[in-house]
Amino acid sequence: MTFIELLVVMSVMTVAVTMFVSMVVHTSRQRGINRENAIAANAARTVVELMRNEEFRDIYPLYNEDPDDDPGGAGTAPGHRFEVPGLTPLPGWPDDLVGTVRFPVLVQQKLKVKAAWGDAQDSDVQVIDGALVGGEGFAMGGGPTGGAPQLAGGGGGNAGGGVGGGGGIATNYFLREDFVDTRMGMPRDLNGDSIVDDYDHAEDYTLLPIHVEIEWRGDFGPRRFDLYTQIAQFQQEEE
Amino acid sequence: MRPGPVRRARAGFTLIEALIALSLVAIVVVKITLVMSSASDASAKQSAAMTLEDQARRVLDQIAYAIMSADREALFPDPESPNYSTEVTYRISLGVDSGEVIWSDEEAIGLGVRGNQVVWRQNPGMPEERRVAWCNVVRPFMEGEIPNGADDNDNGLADEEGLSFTLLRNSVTIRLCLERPQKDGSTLTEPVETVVTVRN
Repeated sequence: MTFIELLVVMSVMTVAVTMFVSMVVHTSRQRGINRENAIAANAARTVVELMRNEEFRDIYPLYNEDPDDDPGGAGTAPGHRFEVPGLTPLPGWPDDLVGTVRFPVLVQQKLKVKAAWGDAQDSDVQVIDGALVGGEGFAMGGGPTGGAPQLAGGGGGNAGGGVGGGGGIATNYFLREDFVDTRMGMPRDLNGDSIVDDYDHAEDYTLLPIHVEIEWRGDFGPRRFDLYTQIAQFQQEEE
Repeated sequence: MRPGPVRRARAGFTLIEALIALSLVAIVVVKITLVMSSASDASAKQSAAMTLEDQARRVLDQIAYAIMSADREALFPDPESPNYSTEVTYRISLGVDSGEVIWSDEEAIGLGVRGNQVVWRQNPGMPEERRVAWCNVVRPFMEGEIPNGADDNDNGLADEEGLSFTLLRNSVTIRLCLERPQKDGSTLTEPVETVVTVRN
């Protein structure tokens, strides 16, 4: 056996062993990914099942982002974020809540400034900025023309030098039919009046599109699972 | 001057060279075999774990889908946490005829007599009872739980067995834990859990 022959044999064997080990490693990696996906899918399904366990009209206030509309009192509802045991949050994530429930909601934040110079009255409260903020695909436009949105937040502010001030960020949440997200099937009629309008339908929805999103740090990089579904309640009108 | 003796070129290997070459080859072969063997063992373990996990999720889904279409009023027993049941009986809706819901025969899902089986039964306790074992590797107790009257695994249940049902209004929480012994004496364990809300 010459040295060249030995080298050839060794190379072939090295390649074969490398392929085998690589296959084992990839199988192992795929198993980890499948396991994480299964955990995420089960968690998403569980959240939707828990929603089904609630009164239909309570689902939105219980699982939306707004803590002020919780049926049992402010801050008593599960809210829009949830934990998934077995999944690690992404780096920089503020807590262990890797899951998020989303509805077709427009979030409106207004900077409320209460300026007081001298004998200024409460009427000096003015909204100096109005901006629609939120994720991609939001319908842009004016604020809701129906309903009576309540300004929340407030407090804080600066005072001193003879110029007093008070105010804060007021955040409002509107369940809107003109929300744009094709994966959610939006825009669409949510209250069964056959019209897609720009009102807040938190009180009269009969169809509730839901997006459950789970993002986590997988063993091999950041991963994400999305579940889109709808819960509906149709009642026949009495004649 | 007379020339000295001329050395003739050697052909082939000496015994020492052959021995060294064989030793080197043997060492390399042994190392490669060890690597292949450990990789193969790891692969087999991964495969077994994957199979058990698939089985656990399949059985869990089977139970969940069976209960999903059940009538809440016909679910029995009615264990609210911290109590649990190892069997649940139910009827499912088959449709509506002349405005009346048609209900199926009574069905039950629970641990079998041997304790390590998930058994689905139709018409339980009746002469025409049918039974199908969905799985026969159920762990005696949930992972982390030992029979000491306490909640060892912090899931709100004490001494829960490998299959347990708890109810909260219309939602049924199903917990299942499978285990399968391996050739090397170790045991693979796979706990799974889900919540399903009855639709009727």
